[in-house]
Amino acid sequence: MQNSDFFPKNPKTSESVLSAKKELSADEIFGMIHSVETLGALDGPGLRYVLFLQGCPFSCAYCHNPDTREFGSGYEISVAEQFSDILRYRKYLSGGVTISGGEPLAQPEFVTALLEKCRANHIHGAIDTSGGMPLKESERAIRAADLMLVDIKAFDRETARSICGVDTTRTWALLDFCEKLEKPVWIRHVLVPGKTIRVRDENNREISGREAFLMLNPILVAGIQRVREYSCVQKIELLPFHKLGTHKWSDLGIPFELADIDEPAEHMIAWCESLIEWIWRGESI
Amino acid sequence: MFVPGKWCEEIHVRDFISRNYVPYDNDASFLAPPSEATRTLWNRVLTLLEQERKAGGVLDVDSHTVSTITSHAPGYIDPKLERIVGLQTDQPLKRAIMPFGGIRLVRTSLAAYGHEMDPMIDHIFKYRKTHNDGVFDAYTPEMQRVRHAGLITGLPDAYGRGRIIGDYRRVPLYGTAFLIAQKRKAKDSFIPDVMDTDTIQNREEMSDQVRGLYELTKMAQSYGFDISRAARNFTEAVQWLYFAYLGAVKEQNGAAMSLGRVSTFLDIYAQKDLDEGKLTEEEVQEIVDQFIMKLRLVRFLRTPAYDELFSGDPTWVTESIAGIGLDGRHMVTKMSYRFLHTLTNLGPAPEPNMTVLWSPNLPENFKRYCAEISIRTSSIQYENDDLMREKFGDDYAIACCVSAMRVGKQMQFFGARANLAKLLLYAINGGRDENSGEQVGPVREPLKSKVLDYDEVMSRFDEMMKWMCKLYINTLNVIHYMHDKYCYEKLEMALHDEEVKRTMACGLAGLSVVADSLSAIKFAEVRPIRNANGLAVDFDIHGGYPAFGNDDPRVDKIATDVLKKFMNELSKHKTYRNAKPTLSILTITSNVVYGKKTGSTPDGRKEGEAFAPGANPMHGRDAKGAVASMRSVAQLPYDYSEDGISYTFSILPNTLGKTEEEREVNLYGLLDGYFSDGGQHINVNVIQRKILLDAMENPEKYPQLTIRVSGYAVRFVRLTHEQQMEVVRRTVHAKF
Repeated sequence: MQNSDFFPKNPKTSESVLSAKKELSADEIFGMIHSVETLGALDGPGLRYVLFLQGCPFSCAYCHNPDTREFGSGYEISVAEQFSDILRYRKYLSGGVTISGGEPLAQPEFVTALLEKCRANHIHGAIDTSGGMPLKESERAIRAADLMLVDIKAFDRETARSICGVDTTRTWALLDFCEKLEKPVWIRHVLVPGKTIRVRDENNREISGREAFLMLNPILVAGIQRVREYSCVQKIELLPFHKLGTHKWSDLGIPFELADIDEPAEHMIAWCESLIEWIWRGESI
Repeated sequence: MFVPGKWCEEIHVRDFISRNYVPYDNDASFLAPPSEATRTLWNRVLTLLEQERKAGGVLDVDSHTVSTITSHAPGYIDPKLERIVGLQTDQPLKRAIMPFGGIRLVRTSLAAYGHEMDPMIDHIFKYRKTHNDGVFDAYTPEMQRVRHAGLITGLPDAYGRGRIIGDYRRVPLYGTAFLIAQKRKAKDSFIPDVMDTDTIQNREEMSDQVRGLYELTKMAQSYGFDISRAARNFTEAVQWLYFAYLGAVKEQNGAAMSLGRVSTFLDIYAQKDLDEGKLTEEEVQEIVDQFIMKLRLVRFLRTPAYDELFSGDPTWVTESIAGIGLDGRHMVTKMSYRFLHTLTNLGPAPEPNMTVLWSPNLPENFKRYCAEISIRTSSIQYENDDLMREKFGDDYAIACCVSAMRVGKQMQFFGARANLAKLLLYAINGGRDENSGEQVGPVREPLKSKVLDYDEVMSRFDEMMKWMCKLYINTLNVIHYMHDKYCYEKLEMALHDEEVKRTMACGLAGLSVVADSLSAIKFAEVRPIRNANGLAVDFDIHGGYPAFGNDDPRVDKIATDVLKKFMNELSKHKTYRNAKPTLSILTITSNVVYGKKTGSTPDGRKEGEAFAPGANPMHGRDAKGAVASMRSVAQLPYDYSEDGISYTFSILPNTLGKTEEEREVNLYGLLDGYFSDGGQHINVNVIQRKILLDAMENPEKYPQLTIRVSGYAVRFVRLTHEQQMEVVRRTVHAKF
């Protein structure tokens, strides 16, 4: 089970949890946290308490929270303590709680226990994941969630591997699992010019028309069509690549690979959005 | 006919309103666009505003006429198009001089804008003493020292104190003849056995008040209206009410000249005319738009130093909208919508200072509409009606930014604010000022330890607080005694009951700096760095500390304790006219100037850096997001800060939600949460940082760009560069 060194080294967290047979109480399960955003309006429905867990095994080139990657930093908190902090904000949480990161499913016990507590108290719980962790380790957490926000890093394996080091096979397996459970899913996909979308034609000219754009982006079209097959998927959110987090990279002293890539033009984002609408309505493209 | 009641027998506006208004639950779809006349007029005003900006902030000054209610000939923008008339002088945006607060201030202001004082006026004021002269005759050397050092600043000792709201509704409801008769009656019956100072003062004031009402009648007459009788329809009601307000701003250059709570009152007249088919919705909106337009033109002549403190020409024409009645009915009417709709018809603007008295029990449609307008214009502030109704009933209004008072029954003696962060440094430095080295406070041994000890600092701080609170109240006693004597607001007070409740409205700045400093001293290790004179001029901080604004009880409690102590100290002292001491946590834009005058503080804030505005957490230390900040602010006890607790919330539109609808729902959800947690006030700015930056570069592109700054709104392009930067820095609240 512990086939990765992704898990926090802290003995109080996963290792003791994983080796223990008995069910641990909320005081005994710990998570490593990067930070909290008490005004989360972008990660799931309504106003949400967003918990950013510390540590992510992947290394997406466009990561906007590179400071949450490293395992072993952040601060430690028990499920009970974390939950009591969430309760302080209850009246603001028209949406609920979203556990993001980092990669939340790298701390599955903590996530599971916290979401179970939320559910018991009628607080909607979501997980914001890349879907890149082994499914077997994630299953309980997924069951405990009311909504999965699944970030498909790229619709083809090569791109995914090259820009994120993520195996999207696992992401699709996670979606299959959600489909089986009828677990609501929101898909998220980052539009990175030159990576996940083509914005220039073979002559390196910016694609000027919507039709040409669709012709030159068969992977995107096929990807969205594939997602459409899942009846558990309620929504696809396209997230235009942005560079607002650039300073975080320089703060960390890591070169930002995508520094030279332009943010996608608004009309191209609109094309992608209309593409989703057509596919959703079952229209031909 | 209106539903009769007590209001027919005596002056009782609240009774008139509660018997006659009709709550409105539906949405905004009834609202009308601006009329052609309004559009033409407003374009003319925009041109004038641009000329004003280009002229460096002041378009013109009448330096020959001392402003009184009747001093100036009627002024118009375009009499053919104006449905509501009246200007402070004979020309729009021409400022008047009001020397009774202080002739020196007028002289400085005139000089600053290239005008000369009329020699005749100079001559007259050789014989006529002003408020400012009186204050300085009575100030003690110690008072002058704290004022000079910037420990207690912004004091209304050279200009009009403001923050008094005349019940301007009385004029349309009763007409001035009835009001004069009532005042006379009151004076005649006020002849106690002992003619002591209080009695003499009260009797003299009542005579002044009657005089004020006569002058008001005369001023209205010069525009061709007879306001001695009650208004007979909506147009008259608005015109009468505006004349009453206009009289006040002709007479007084008060720091804040608020309007009160007029919209629901006026709705009664509008509804009657609509029901009787005398007016259409378009015509009602036209009158409202033009009334609001007039309020946007109110100007006072002020010094550049004043502008630096409170920039953007604020006049705080605060109008309080909505709220819930004591009988449980909400007080949202169509007029509440129409007033807010002017932000659409005329575009965003800082004045009038639109203040929504919020309760989670307001109708959903209205809450949604407020959120929509807030997001689009950043021109609305919100205050907690549930909290204030308990103390002030359902006919209170906000003066200035956050100060609630019962309309026509209560007034305050405005006391600006004390710099609490500086006081903390005095505690550390034995009463010496960290910048000048001058001994301002009581002489004490400065703290000598290498690492600051929390208990030691606290006991010194308590002692300094005791000293300052006493001095503060005494200083205000001097100021308000003199203001009553030399610069009495006869018209505003004529629109009050004879028996008025008074508060002594103290204030403090730098609460979050102090809370964080004390938290640092308690939870981290703070080593003072002392200069050659032994003054702690900087601090070395080892380790982290919980900072205010993260909903962390360890430090939030420190803030609360400081607040309570301060208020308790203020309450111990005898006040002029037995005013009840109160406290506000409000800076407006002065947080920048206060910061400038204050040395480095133990929280890590460097010398000269701005304080956070009002009760805001220090910028960049709120690590848990805006809701955590709101909760920290909301837990500050209103019972100990009854004059208001200001919080300014700025958020990027994209952070508030993905779609327009999400943003609206999220915003009003936040307001419901914040107010049910006990928050008193919140400014809402929903604005793109890049727009602010562009506006700094290209001000002419953004003449109407409005943002809210601790308790008021301001045209962004009229802020000083430093203040603009301070706003830009705070416009984040985005985690991505």
